[in-house]
Amino acid sequence: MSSVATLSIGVRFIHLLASVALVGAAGMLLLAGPSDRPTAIRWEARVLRSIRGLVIVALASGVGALLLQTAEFAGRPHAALEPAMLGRALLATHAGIVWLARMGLLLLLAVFAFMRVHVASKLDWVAGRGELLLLAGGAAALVSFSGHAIAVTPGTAGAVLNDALHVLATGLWFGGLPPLAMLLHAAGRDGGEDARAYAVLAARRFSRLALVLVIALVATGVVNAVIEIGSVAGLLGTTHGRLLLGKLALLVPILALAAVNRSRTLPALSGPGEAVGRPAMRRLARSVAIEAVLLVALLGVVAVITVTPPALHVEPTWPFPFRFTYAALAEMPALRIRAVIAGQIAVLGVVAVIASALMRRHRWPVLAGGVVLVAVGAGVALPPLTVGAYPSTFRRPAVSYQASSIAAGGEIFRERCAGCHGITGTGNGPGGRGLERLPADLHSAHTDLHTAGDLFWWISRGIPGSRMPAFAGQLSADDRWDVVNFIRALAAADAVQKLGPTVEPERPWLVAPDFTFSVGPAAPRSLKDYRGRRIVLLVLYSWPASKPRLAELARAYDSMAMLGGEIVAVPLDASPEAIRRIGTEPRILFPIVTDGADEIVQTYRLFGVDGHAEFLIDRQGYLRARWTAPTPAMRDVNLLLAEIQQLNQEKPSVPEAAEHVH
Amino acid sequence: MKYPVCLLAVLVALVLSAAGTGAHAFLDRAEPRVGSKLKAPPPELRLYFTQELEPAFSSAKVTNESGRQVDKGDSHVDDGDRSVLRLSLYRLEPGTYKVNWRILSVDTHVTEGDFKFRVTL
Amino acid sequence: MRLWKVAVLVNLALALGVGWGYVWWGRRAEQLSRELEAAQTAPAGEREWRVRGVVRAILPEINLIVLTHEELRGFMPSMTMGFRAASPKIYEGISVGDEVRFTVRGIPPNVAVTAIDKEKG
Repeated sequence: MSSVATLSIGVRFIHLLASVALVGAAGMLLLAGPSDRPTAIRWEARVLRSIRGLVIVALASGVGALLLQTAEFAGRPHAALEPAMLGRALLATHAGIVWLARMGLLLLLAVFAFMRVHVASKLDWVAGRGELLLLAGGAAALVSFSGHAIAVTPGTAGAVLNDALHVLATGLWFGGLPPLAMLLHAAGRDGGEDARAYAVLAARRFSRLALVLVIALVATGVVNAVIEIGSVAGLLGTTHGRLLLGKLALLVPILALAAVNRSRTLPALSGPGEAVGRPAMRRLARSVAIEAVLLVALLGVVAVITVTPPALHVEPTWPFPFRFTYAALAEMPALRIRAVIAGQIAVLGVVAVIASALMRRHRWPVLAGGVVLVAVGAGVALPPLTVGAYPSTFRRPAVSYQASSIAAGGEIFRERCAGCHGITGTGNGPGGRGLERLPADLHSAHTDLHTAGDLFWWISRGIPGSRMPAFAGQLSADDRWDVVNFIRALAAADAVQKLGPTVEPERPWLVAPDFTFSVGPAAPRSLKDYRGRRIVLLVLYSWPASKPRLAELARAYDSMAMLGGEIVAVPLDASPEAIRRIGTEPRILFPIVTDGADEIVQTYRLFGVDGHAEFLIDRQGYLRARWTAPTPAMRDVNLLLAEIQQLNQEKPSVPEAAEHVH
Repeated sequence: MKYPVCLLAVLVALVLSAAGTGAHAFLDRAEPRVGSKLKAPPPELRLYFTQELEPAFSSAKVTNESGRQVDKGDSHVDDGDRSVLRLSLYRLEPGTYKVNWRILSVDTHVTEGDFKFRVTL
Repeated sequence: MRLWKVAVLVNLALALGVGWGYVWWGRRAEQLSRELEAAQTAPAGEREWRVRGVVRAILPEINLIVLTHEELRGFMPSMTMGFRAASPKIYEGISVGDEVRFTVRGIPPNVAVTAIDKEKG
């Protein structure tokens, strides 16, 4: 399979190269315009010949790419030669339809390129070249319709459009370079004097266009990166992100060359005499050719990126033993102002460095001053923001934040961790006494500073210089994630103390752990199934102490359902006989959990007290109010209904609660 | 301003080869949950992915401990939500079950993976 | 023919093709959603389901039995629902909290419970 993948990258590279080069070649012809000079006419014929070559290469490599892609889709190399599989890959997948459309455009392009036509007027000339550009541009832009951008949701159309613009700008810029180099070379040679003015004009026009294209490329590229990578961890910690950095690293010398061409070489072209213009023209031809070669390498990186899963969907491996976070300042409020001021100084330094590049006078002193400011600012601001980091720091937990995981993690915790960290995780277990480095208090605000990935690393590998052992050999990865989820729930249990019996408007912040339950033989449901649909009142009750309260809720159930609320009642003793026990009075028709109750109780008991407790969960999946009482004293149901009404009026101000802890 | 050091160390990062990607790269969640213990046999398996799927080349199967297939072989992409793969199951006896999935997302990436869940009584 | 005329014709054909494809696609999507709707609304005629459930309330005075039940395929998903009983005998021998297996018959949405048996155990 891997040989197919490697071959596939190679073929895609050739296909991509030919497709975008076609755009630029046609674009360059249009840009330079028609000419009657023999050298210019010879050049135009050469470019048209290369367009013919390129379209053949694009078509052939396109067919190759389809065969290889079919093999990849089916998971067998031989599938590439089975007509049935090819048909399926072509007609039953989105990418196949896009491929057909692109090949159609390329075929039409080939017809146009090979057609022997008589060009009678300038209109014909422009129409012919323009048609080449249109067809090549269409075929290239369609690449975006089967790439990473099409899988972006929501905002697919925007992502595709952005990517298409990126591809087109690449085509016009990169594809224009070889013909330009050819023209400059031809005009710079002995006997090319007749086309020299034409070449200078073409170079000027291209330079102006290239400036616009590069700005468009950077802008659309940044948007692409934000959409597909989304985080610094994704940029530094995934193959996709690192390839993008490699692409940028290649872009730097290209842009430097382009800048030199624009600011130095291009003005020298219009020198008064033969002596000034020609060497500059040769120099320009050479450096444009180098630019083109570097861009070929860059497109090679792009070809690899297209077959690499987007960073957003891959777990990053953080490459550094440290990271920077503002959360670190929470522990040292005194340092906050210092860090902010130092940060401003560093920003000032960056501004100075940028300014120095644009200045003509005092450039070097300003540059040196800027560098000093950046160094000083960063030196002062960064150390307090630095916290330790590990390869797994930014990994998303493999197990989602849900009651069954938290309950399982709690069991493991009591067995393996409570000895030192204490039954409740405060770090006061008997095994931890007298240790040189005391076991961590998992309740302290300090744990917020660390990501779920940090906790996973410590649980897996232990902490050197302490007695914290490594559990990687004893617990499966999923078990370790369960423990991480439990520790996160412990921290949430502290935060939950701030949650009162009334809803604080517009302020969701505490994620309700998801849970799955069923009522008798009915299909299992999850809290998440109510997402965006209903506000859930989770009631943990004890029988018979909670009887009056349940009766009251049962009476209010119709009004509540009308307001978009649902009640889920969970017996604290997790009895599967709960419904029978309640009997005919009160007549309860909301779900009484008969299956899954023990996990819900174990998890939500962390958030409440031992007896009856009620939690109000909004449509976004956040815990919004908590009402606990050791004895179920009455609480006005009308107040509860008023709170539900209030939640109904709220506009969602934060994203839906995350599936995983961070 | 936050990451100048990181950016300087970009080349270091490039030299470091990418470690293996996470096993759960594309599977967002599953119903029944990954690694879960169920008290009632689920009638159906639903796999939620992070991207939309190509029905023609996306499938999953469930096997029991002895490797026998226990799903009805009807894995299909949900009509309403194209990022969900569904398959119905025969009535599962208590035991450990393995789910293998192989999917093609609309951006032409093939991904595969597996996970287990348990049915207890 | 002059080249510019050829180019204009080709572009016109392309534009027509894209426009036609767009309209065809929209029509097809509409047709699919109509078919889906048609498939979901059950065919006419009497139907019968036998599913499991749990008794939530028994109200002979208004001829109603409330059950939390499994999915009635092609009619309603798993939910808590009041059903009419076909005969008063249905109410005998069951009490709230019983897990039962019951039969629903009728022309949707006019259906009634025709038989109900307690599950063993």
